[in-house]
Amino acid sequence: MRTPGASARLVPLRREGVSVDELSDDGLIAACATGDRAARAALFARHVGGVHRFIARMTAADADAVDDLVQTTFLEAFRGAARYRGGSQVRTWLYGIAANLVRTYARGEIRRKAALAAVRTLPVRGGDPDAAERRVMMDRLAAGVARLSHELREVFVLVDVEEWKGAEAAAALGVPEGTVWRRLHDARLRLRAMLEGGGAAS
Amino acid sequence: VTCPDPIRLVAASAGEDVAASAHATACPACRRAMRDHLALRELARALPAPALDREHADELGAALLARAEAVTVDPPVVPPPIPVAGRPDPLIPSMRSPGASARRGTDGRRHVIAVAVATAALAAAVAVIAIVHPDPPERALPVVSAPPGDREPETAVAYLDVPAPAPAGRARPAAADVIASAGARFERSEAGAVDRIVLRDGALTIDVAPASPPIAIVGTNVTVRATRARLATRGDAGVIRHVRVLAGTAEIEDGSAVIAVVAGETWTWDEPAAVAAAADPAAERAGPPAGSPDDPMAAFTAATDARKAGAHARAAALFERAAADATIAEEATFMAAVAWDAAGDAGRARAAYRRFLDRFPESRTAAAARTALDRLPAPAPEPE
Repeated sequence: MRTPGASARLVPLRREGVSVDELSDDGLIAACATGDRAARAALFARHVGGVHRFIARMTAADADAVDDLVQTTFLEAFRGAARYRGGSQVRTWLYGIAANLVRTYARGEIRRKAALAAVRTLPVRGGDPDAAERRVMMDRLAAGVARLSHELREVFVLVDVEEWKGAEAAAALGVPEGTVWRRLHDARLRLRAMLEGGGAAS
Repeated sequence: VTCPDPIRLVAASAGEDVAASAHATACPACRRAMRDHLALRELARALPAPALDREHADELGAALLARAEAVTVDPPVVPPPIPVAGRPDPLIPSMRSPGASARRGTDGRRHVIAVAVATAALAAAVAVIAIVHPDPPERALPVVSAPPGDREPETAVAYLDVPAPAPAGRARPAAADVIASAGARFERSEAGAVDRIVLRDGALTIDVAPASPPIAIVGTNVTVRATRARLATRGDAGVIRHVRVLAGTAEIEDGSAVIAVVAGETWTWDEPAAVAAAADPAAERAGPPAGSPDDPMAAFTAATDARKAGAHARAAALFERAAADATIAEEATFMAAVAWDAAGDAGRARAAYRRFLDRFPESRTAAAARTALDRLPAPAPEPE
């Protein structure tokens, strides 16, 4: 493609059509900072699965609220793309934004705690007794996770459910790594009490 | 034997505290605790993942992009000015406790002395440079040439200039990062608010951060200008041959026209080979003409196409050919390993990943390469 008025010395211009899908995450963020629509779409496509899963696990909210939080996470990322300096992985940065949004959302939803606590236990019918017991435990665990405080829930979801490294979770949440392990320890204590039916998660 | 803190067992159960794990294998109480941790972790991993089907994700993405049209990108954050020693910035609240002033006595004095000595040394260095180069109109820098070595990793170029004092109340933004290939020759200087590089030979990878001043790369044929962009360029006898834009946008100007090249595109100086040879007999020695099958840039493009088409072995071979160009060597070497891996050739993949880690140990994809290397099956033992 030749710019009108371009001199012959600049022609031919060979444009090699590498799509934004070929760019690294850092490259996508840099392109997002220029308002590039294709880069925004590619960043969303690349990370929506993980961000959606994290938010859904963190909030136990209805699908519309999760969708709205997912969109807001990416809108905040687009808005702040020029401030991203590559100190952490893009995934860590995005989850950090999501964690902050979920925290704000949770404050507004504080009155719905009782509803979150009323997560039903699925009925168990027949089948392998061990499997049935495991399902009961998983239902109790899901209910217990919903009843954890936000700080404990986010480390449990990131490290134990999503299997992130402690350092990566610490970077996303903006806390020291030691704090991640301490919170995870507290979360497991509460959840174990829930699973054994010996106490309530706070 | 002292048992580790219970919190360390939590880290151990996630595989991140080897010493605590080792202790738990020998200590019955800690082994029990570890077993509980691992059981809970296993249960957590088995929790069903909230589903996001493709159709819903597409709808969500379409709605997001429509909303994003109204988004204004925030300007980059400029770091605040560093407060002068001894004169605390009134905008920064003191973090010291009331009793701290009594404790800091000797340490505080040592700190002040150290700062004073460092400031004096910096002032002396600036004064010496000012005497040697009295008031230059443009702070020209010597030609920087990385020494050729056995290997040819890209070499970070240290900034040779002494930062000018920042205007009062304003921080001086960091200059763009420039990585030069071995043997690269270029001159760097500041021309007004523009970071100016005259490229003679070799390859440069340049990262112009949002807060950095705009950069101009000057060749005898064109000038490349970029702000907030990452690009790789190669020069040959003063002629800029290639500009590959990795992020952002670059403008290429020949004095009468300007062309914008956006992220993902490559601009190639496609001077007719005969003219180039007549004008510069050394041109033929510089490498194959752009666009030919042996041209690394063309090989990279062909490799990308082959990978998309699922021809991983062919893609790997092409990526290895493309790695001959220092401007794309890092990306091409890594992609060659990935392609061999995808082709199921564990031996070549292992060798390629190792080659990549040897050449680019600090690469952003080095961690991924190490993970992939660990995942690959160990080579079969030599038959006796």
